[in-house]
Amino acid sequence: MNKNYCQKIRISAMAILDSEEPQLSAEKINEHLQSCAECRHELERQKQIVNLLGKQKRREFQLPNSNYRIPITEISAGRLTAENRKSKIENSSLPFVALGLILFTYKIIEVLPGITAGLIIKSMPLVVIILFFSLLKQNPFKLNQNIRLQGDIR
Amino acid sequence: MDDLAAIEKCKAGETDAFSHLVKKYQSQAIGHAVAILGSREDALDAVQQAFLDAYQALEKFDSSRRFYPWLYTILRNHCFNILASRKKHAAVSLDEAEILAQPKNDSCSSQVRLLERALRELSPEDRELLTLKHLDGLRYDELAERLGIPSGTVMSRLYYARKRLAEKVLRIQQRVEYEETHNE
Repeated sequence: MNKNYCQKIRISAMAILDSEEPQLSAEKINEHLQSCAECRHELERQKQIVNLLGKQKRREFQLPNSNYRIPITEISAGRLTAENRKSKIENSSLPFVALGLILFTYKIIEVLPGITAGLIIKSMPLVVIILFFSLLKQNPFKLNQNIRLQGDIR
Repeated sequence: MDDLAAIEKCKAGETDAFSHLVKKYQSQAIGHAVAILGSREDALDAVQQAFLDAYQALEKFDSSRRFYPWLYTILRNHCFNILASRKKHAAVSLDEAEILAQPKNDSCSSQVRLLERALRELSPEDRELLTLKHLDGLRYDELAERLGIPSGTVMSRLYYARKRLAEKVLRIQQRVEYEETHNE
């Protein structure tokens, strides 16, 4: 018996079992099966596996648990779209740009001739920085806990 | 809210609507990722990445398609990338996750265990195909869409995957019987 034809017969027979359109007609398959014991045996094994698989169900996964979360809040907050991300970066960088300008202006004033830098003037940058972070309600020494999450989001 | 409405809302800027899709499909997606990867932890990573990628590519989503098959193609890409990186870093220990639901009836549990072991010994591609076909009941055209292959290929791949599974089941059965007789 031609091996390739046998494979075609088996594949087509299984397609019929799956209620799908076979490559070969049912008549051809039946005709072949009557004379080929090997194909009959192989199809019997396939049917057994199909029956065994047919009784099974996929395991359901209970979610979410405390260790896992798809960052729905990140998604919901709209932080992921390119435009939003850009505007967020622009908004969050504004106070820092302002701080830079203030410190730059201070440096210019400091080097102007005729100004003697006293203790108050010398401590001005420190005062400005403390005020700045107090207003932003941020601790500049705190480690950013969101670094990994941002990395995940790409 | 149906999927299409949620997607349209997302596209219109109501990003909260995406959480509807995440909640609806995350469990199913994890089940599918576990079937390919065999590991719960890796499956969780793949699903998270798939949802994030889907969100970012939502503008490209073709509304004539269903959402989950589209998400599935993204998910399986992530799964196979994880498998590829596993091959590079061979010494990764895996937390094994079960694919099949445990039966309430004790008499069936040995059969399920046997099948679970045999599935685990198959290649991820065979495992994916067989579980989509027999656990989710997908038709050949749906399988073709999910896997990105022609229906004719699905037909032959299914035949060979079942053949390999039958061989694994037989071999495991023989192994178990041999072990039982030698333990007595």
